[in-house]
Amino acid sequence: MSEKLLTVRGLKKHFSVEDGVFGGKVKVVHAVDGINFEIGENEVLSLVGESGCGKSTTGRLILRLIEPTEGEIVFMGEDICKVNGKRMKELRREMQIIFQDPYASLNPRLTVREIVEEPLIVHRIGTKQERREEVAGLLEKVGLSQDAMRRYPHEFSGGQRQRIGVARAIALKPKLIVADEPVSALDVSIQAQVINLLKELQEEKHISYLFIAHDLNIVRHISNRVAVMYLGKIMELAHVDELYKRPLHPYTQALLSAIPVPDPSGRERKIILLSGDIPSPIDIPSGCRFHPRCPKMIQECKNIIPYLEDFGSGHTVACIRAREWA
Amino acid sequence: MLLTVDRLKTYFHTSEGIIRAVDDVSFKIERGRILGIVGESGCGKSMTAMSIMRLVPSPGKIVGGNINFDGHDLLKLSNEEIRRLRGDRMAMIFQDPMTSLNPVFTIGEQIAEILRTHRGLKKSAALERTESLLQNVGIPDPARRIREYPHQMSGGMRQRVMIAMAISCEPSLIIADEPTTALDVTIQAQILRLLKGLTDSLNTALILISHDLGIIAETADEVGVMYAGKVVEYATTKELFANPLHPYTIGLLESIPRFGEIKEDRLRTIKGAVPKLSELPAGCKFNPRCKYIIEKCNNAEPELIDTGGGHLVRCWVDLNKSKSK
Repeated sequence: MSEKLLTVRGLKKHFSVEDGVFGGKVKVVHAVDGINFEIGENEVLSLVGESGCGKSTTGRLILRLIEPTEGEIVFMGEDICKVNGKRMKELRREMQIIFQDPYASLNPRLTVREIVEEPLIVHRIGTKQERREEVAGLLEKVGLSQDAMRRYPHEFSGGQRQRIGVARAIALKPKLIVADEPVSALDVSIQAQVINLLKELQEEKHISYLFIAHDLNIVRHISNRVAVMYLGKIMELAHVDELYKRPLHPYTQALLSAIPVPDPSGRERKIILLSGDIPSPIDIPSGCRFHPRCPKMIQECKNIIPYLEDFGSGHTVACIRAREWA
Repeated sequence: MLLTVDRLKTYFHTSEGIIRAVDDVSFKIERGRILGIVGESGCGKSMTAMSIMRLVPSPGKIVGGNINFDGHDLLKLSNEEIRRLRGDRMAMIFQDPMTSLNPVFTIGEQIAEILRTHRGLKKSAALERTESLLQNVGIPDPARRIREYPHQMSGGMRQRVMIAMAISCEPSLIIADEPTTALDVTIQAQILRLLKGLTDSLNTALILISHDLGIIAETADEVGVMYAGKVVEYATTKELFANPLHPYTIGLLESIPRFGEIKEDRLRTIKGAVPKLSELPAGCKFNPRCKYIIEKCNNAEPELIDTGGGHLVRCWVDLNKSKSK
């Protein structure tokens, strides 16, 4: 975890939406609203948060699948927003993505061999024979049999399809994989299989993951560090054990307390129930954007925008009151 | 007993053969209690709910068993009679509130319609009652909200509206099918608390269907675990989580990440995949994935047996004994 593989500085993505049937006023969705983080080599950083917090947009931004409004994304020493198309294609070899929906992310008209081989062809790697051997090896790696090659995605179950997606993502031996909710579409008994596979590959091939998820148990299992997002901003970022044992931001505290515990005696624990809904990223609340739902809100929170402050060993929190309970 | 489901069978006759979506399912529930039904996709949990509501989609058919609800033999009622019970005495809450609300009517109109149909209320009285219902389910500013359309509300608010609709006639039974699966975790906590509170205050029976063992552990009094159309284990929530006896239940519980003193490096898994209902194995339906398998499992289907104290298990291997040894 020494070299920084990826450094994100001041990243923003604003989308314009037209309001009303006839297009009138243009409003701005602050999907990602100025975030900073780093991912080291061989490190798993998770982004967690509820719908609309900007975690998936962040994942797409760092692969430059969408263009940022502002900010820098430095990958292997280069700002990927400034490089030309040819260089971007070269860099893309090193960054891959695994999507949430294993039904929508595989072309139904291609065989599994064609799907997994495609990135090798695009980047002109190996001869036909070599590629074929490579694909066979990749399928074996992700736990699929050789006869899978000639079959089509619809012949596989959800868990197996996600394995095909994983094989495609590791085909080019990338340094970074963005895994966007890779198991949330799968059955409970299958999730553990895919998580184990992802962890195995990470350890063996020293891949870094940006792991985007809302299941906080799985995040705790797979991550080195975790960033909690709310309405386009990082509210807290810390080493995984530190975050789960000593959450300092009131939002993180509420989020962790709300995870249902598969043990009836857990009913005794105190759940911090947040009032109200997640606000729309169009009308961001003033001051701290969490203040309308925060159980610890004071008058100042409405005016002061909190910045991420360091609470020791890389545990950063954006809350003006956090010192009181840190 | 408010609801008794006895040996219910709901089959689908398709070109691939007979799909036994619900195959010999029995359970009971009393008013004021919460029964959790847990299982993965295709295990028959939703179809069990649809069967109770008599809403089984074609080509599915209830081919066997009995459902007794509050003195009514539900499978013998005419369509007209069942319609009068539905929405009035028994109500259902679905996973996705967006597709179960009508997009072209306001929230107020949709709830008031139920009250006018079942309770014969005049429009103004129905709207008044609607307002207080919305208040009950924690919707702020109900006077304004009743004039809104579903798309103007958030997912959590829409689910509250669904709950308001479900409780509008104070039913004795509510079936909630994955009511919080589409919601964020902080909103999920709000909705679960609301449902639990309403079961208490209205003395309603609640059948809570979920794939999430955490939700079941936190909410239900009793739990039925379903696999491939059958109940494989049934016990009080406390007993089931403390002493799971079916290999499938054990596997499900083990595959959840745990964080004790030592962090386990790998999650425990159940091998294989959830089978297609058209390609079920002979004998015990779980046998290809089971790590306790014995010869008998390949040939004969086990019955759901009481191992004592109402803890029912469908398994040839007595894990209770092998555990205590």
